[in-house]
Amino acid sequence: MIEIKNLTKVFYTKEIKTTALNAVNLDVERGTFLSIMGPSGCGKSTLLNMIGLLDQPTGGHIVINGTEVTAMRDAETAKFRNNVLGFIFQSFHLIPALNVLDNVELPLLYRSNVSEKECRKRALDVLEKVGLSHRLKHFPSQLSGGQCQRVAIARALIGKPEIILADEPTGNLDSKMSDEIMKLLVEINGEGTTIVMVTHDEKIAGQTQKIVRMLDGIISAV
Amino acid sequence: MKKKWAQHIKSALYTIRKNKAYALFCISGTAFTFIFVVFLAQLAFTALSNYPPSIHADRTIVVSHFTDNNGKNIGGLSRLEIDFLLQDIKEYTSYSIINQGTVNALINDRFRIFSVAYVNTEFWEMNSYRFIAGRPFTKEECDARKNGVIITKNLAKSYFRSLDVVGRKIEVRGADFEILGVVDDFSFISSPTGASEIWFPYTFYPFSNNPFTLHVFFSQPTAMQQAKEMVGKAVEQSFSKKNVSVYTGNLSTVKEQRIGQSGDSVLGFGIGTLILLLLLIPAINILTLKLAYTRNRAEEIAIRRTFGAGKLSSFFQLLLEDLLLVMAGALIGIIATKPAVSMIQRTFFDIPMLGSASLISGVDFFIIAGVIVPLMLLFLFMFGGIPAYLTAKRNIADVLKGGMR
Repeated sequence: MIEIKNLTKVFYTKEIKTTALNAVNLDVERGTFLSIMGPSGCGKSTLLNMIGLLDQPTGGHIVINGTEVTAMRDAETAKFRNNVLGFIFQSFHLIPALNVLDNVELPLLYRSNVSEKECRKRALDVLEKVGLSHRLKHFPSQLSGGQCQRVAIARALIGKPEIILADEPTGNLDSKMSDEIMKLLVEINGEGTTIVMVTHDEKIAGQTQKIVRMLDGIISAV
Repeated sequence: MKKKWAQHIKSALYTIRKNKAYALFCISGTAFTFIFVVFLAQLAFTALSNYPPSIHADRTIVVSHFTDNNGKNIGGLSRLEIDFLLQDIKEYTSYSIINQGTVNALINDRFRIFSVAYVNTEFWEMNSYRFIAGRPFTKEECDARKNGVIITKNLAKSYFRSLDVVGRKIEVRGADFEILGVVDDFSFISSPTGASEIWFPYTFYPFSNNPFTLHVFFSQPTAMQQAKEMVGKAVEQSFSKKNVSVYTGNLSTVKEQRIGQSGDSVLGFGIGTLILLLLLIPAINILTLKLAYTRNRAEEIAIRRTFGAGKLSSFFQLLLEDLLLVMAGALIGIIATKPAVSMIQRTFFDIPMLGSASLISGVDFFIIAGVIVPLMLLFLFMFGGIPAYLTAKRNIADVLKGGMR
């Protein structure tokens, strides 16, 4: 489902050149729950950003569902992210001005073929799924970390993406909350969604089907 | 689509609430800028068009004072001479005769010197003063020297504290004059009688042998050059009866007199340049401030782009927030223009002869829709365009590293 070939990312500053990804090759099969582990600065989040089309690689190719995504234009990447990918971040990245319902509905606003009624129905469904249907009108500042992450998961799910990219989704949560979130992600994966997750936590990674370890911009072990 | 924009507005209002100091700076800056912009635009429109009351300014020729061929002043034409002159012109549509001066008048037990005009009945037909009470004087009243006057709305409000003054009296030179009508505010730039506040029938002009100013109106399709030649010949004939040579090459229309030698394009270009400068300076100030505070917006835009928003959509979302601020500022500017101009006029240019006359009579819908709205959008792009562009094209991954809850 995801084929990564010779993926390279180099960051340049005035003084130094940093190779964050050095000719990375990786294949992720459909329905896999994959975790990427490694020390800080090894390139795992950079790799996830490349797969999520949030950043441009310096070299190499990413093919998702048979589509070469590295050469896409802005409008195409926006559409692709909206239709195929779902995102969960460590710091949730909810929009503070919007309530839970509005935050969750966000991805569907950029789809022209979903009616307002359908949009609302799907938002209520996913919020029910993550156990937050009683917090529809609350704003992010009124929620706990675990609740915020569940809103973020609901937002990632609403567009029914084939792939969910999660960047340390339990990084800001205590162990109890982390377990709840992981339980939810395992359940989502069980329904057929491919999940690629970055984590530092061995215990969390242990709950996934496959672990990729990175070191200094390369994959050191699978 | 509707929901998406409703969300954008919600976000914009939230950001405005969270950044009150910036919002206040932006709104007040825009308001002050637009007071001047609206004033200049309205002034230019008043001066360069057939703005009421001079609705035929470009087709009305002014016959006033003349010089001989050596440039020596030879005066104008008396009332009687004007009658003969009009017989020679023939093809005109209408005419008005005007004289101006000052009178000491006692109004409602208050005494003051007023700028006044003496006009004929046709003056009210040729010029579009809006009567808010009463009527103009008739030809019969004019010829019969019936003691009647027309006054301005401001005068009525200042001296009677009411607009319902038709039938009330003012005392001039020991005689009572009945108020026949009240006219609405007008710009003294576009009024053929300037800042006059009281109009008498011309038959009350105390110096009947003095020259009058004649305004001769030629309707379409008469070419104005041809009209000027006709009037010039008639003036030459009139002066030839007195064995005086006269120079008629500088005959001009009301509008040409108003804008002087500069002409439409020069005046329009000058005011246009001034308006652009007025917009540019505050735009640079707001732009500088805005570039420093776009962090929060950058994060929200990055989140939206992650979930499917394109760069263009993000650009317009950012501009929407500025649009709300600019609209609020421009609206305040439009509303405040007339009072601000009046206040500045009273405070810094308090000329008794201007009385209560104002530079602009108000702000026209045409100016708001045709000039202010486009300038508002230009101003929006001047200070909001660059930050919005820079924010919308930022690398999503870089922005999201900062984090936002």
